[in-house]
Amino acid sequence: MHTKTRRNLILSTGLSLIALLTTVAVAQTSRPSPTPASDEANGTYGNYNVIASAEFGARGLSVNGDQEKYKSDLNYRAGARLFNTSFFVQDHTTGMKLFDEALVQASGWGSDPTGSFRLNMSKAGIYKFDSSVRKVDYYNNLNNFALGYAFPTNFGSEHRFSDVKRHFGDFDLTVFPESQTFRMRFGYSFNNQSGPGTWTMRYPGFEAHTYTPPPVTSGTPLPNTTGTRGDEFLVNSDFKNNSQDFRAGVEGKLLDFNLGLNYGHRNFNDDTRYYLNQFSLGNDTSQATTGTISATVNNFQRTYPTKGSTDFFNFYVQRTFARRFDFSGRFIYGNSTSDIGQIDTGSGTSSGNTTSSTARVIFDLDQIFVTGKVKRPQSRGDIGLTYRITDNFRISNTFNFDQFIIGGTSDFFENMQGRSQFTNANAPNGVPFNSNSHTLFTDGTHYRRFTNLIEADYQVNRRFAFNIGYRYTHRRVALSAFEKNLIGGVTVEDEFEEDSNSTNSLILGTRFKPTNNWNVYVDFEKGQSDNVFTRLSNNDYTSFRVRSITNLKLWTINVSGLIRDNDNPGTSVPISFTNSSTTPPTTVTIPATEAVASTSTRFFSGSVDYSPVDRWSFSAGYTYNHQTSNTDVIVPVGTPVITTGTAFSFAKSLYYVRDNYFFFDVTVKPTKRLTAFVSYRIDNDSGQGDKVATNPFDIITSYPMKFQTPEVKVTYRINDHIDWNFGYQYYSYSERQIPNPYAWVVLAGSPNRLGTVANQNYSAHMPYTSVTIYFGRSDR
Amino acid sequence: MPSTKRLKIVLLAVFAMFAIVWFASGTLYTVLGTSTADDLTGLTMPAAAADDGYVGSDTCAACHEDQFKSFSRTKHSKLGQIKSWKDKVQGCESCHGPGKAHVEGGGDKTKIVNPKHLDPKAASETCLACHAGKESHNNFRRGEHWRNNIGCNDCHSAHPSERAIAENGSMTLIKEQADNKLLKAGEPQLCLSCHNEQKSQFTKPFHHKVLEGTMKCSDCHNAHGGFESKQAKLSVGADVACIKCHSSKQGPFAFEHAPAKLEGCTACHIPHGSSNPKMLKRASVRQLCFECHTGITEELSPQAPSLHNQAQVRYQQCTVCHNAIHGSNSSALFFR
Repeated sequence: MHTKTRRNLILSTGLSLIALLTTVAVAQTSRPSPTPASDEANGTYGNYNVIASAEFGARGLSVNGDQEKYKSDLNYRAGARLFNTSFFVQDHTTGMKLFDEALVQASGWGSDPTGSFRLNMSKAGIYKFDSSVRKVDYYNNLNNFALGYAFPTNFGSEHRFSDVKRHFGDFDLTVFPESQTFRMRFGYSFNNQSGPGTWTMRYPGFEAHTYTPPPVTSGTPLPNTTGTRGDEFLVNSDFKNNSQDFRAGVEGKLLDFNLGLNYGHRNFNDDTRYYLNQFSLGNDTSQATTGTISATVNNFQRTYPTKGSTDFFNFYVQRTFARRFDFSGRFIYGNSTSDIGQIDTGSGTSSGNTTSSTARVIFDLDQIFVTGKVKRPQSRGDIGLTYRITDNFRISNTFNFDQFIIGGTSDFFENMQGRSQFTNANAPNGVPFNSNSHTLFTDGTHYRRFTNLIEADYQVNRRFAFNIGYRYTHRRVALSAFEKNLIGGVTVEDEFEEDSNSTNSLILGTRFKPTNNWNVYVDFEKGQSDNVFTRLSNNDYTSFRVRSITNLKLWTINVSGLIRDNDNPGTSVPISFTNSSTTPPTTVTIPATEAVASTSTRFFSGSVDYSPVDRWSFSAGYTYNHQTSNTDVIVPVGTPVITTGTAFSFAKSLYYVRDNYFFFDVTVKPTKRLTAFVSYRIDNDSGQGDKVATNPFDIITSYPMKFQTPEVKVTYRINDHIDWNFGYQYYSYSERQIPNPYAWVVLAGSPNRLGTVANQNYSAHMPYTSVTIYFGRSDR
Repeated sequence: MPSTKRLKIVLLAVFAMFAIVWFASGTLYTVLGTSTADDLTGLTMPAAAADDGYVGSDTCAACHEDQFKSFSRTKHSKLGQIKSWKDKVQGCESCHGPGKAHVEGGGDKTKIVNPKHLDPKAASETCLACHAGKESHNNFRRGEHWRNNIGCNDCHSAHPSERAIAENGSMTLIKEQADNKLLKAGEPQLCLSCHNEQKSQFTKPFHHKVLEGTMKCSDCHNAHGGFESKQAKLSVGADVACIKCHSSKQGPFAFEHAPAKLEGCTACHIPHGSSNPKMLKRASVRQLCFECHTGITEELSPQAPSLHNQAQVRYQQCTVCHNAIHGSNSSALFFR
């Protein structure tokens, strides 16, 4: 829709809404109401009830150790801040008034890295308004051992976000919210992200560039100008993307059916810029004067203006027939579109050799222009039915289908101008070139899935109930890729592949109450799930979960456990893998074995809350997470470990979590005016322990770390309305690298790569003081 | 005329038609009504219903003063002010049933409905009689909470003793957010009181800021059930909840990284929290990539080629080169 038309539509809709609300408000008979007596202790001020608390404070900060990791994990800063604050007011006057009740909440503004503001207002019979605005100061440091160490010491590795500001907002208005016959809904959301960071790129492109020079009449023929592989470069980025959502809908009841129809529209823009304004040697810094020299960049600019939009509508229907048969259905149709634009401009050199035919190429100008359009129409439908056969026995069936197609074109044009660095009498300044490539890509993704879950639940008595169910899922996925060289008219790629699979699952569950205040839940599920990773075949999974919640007079005890195993049935036939990277392709045969992809998960969690008297309370908990993932993979390893060329081998990919989490919170009121809060949290993951790879192919990882934070806070009640808080919080983080003799290899010309990366340990001290102001809190 | 524009016009026309039909049916007056200025509490009973054994909430207040007072503070008590509700049963007896026999029986407990003594499903049917018509509640009878006998009264209280207040404990983590949805406790404390194992995940170095109060469990999950797995919400039509905030990953892209759309974000990420950067399921990015891009089967995900020599550190950081891993508009190999 044209921007101006959309603006007019929004404006007219907003004006209509305001007119409607004003009319309705004025229609209310205005009559002065008697003023009741005030009771400030309970928050009653005349016709108003006000319950509020606000905490304003200031934090000190001292960080030792890895500042970047601290900012990535916590990012608390010294300075003033607003903590969990709420303001709730009820207006009991009759006649014209703006609201019956309003709730304002805010937290985290100031020196906190995240903050939120929420406003909820409502007036009976007229409207309900919910809104929230949130901000996040996003700092994401990834320079750690688990991600590898691809760059020299003075560079960060990979993608970092340095103080990227993220803002989110949601506004929802329901008109006539209590009406069962007609309601209107309007909504608006925004989502902005902007800020500096770093990114990586591979330059020049992976594709080798070859220019065949003209023949010479005498002397040494001019060689082909061939640029070989490039290098990885760290570039700067200014992240900037945003989206805006608009929603409108009507709901109501017609012929006893509850109906709803909603329309939504999202605009999305990505104007992120990537740039490199100084000479860069990249990852491989070998710059010998002769022989092989790595790629370099003189400058680089990328603009990435991408605009997208989504239009969707959502229709739902629900009805309960004779209090026995409940039916609900939903249909969603959405169409997302992206308009692609990208412009790259750069100059530099490829890697290559200054003296041989694989000459290093100097790019005086390398420009890429990309345009295109992609669409994704998607439809989703759901039907749920529940039949209450008796008061204790119900049968339900839920059917879902989901289908989408992603398809579009990307028109890729590249112009490269430069010269080879090789010189001879026939080319004293190098062999120049000016070449274009123009490629059209059309890729498609087709997805269709439907799921049916039928289940029955029976309430034997107040103390015991059980349910049984069966789920069937069928899924079909198809991927297509088409690539055509528009200059030569040659179709480079035209592929289509399709896969479909079905899964079956059995679900059992029971709930029983041994006593009135003790509930036990047991769930068992066995069946098949999609094998997300190796695609060998579906996983056979077994999941068993038990939870016990006991609410005694002074105690609440919650214990839960989960056992889940995903096992791939594997194969017992030899697996042949064709290495198409070699010429001619070679075939690697893996001996007959049962290829495995299995994950076992064990979760145990327990917590206790104890509140014997008003003056003190205690809560503590422990969670243990035990996970082992074992997946067979095929990994290529070459020089310098394998000196006879690259070898592919069947290998193990193992991942471990052995995580222990413990916390306790104690609140004590030794006197009427004094309250002390003490808390301690520790998270300790020992990971893989001492397990290391015994061959260069296996990948064994975990993230052993310890994170703990003790905290002490003392609150002094100055009067009925004001508390003064002061406290201290300490954070400590440490991690442990597991040495892997095959992981780190000296890269020629880059002596800093050997060895391990420094652990990102840090500790932080945070003294804190604040004032909390209360209104209407008679419970204090 | 582009098909999208035509679709928008059709939808607007349908919307307008709905409004016209509704206006013409005369229900506006029913919805708007007039204020009941004479009735400050709004807790009245329709005259016709009085013959069915209803006595009105004022009668209940004579004995149950505390419950009446707490009820009077809630939105349920305001229904009497709305004309469209004047012919319906509201007030105490909308949940507890007709009170005449209970009053005449001198407060006989067997002659009044007490949802506390009903099993959770039966008690929830009382609430669903009014609340079932909204999309967020339509599938409560087929949700996980229902299946595990968690009813409306386990999280909500129709006459709460507590009001919308914020509770702090730690200096950095909130305990409860103030709430106006008649919850017995605020988020996240309410959810964590049962789902206590999630607390450890939200304490990991990389996590969604739920314990800090910036996000709520209900931002991603619908506690009242839904058609999606884990009672997750959808956003922007039929997209996963993640896309609501992480809009840069929505696409569509000219070159899709298939699992992102086919399997969902949880194929690679742990949504609550993880020790692994970017909340990934594996500590090492290359490990995550190899578990799909392995030649054990050539279906749908190609094997990493021989030049990706894992003995060299430059090839152990897949996303340094393949940096547009959620999808690219210009490179089939996600180079840009």
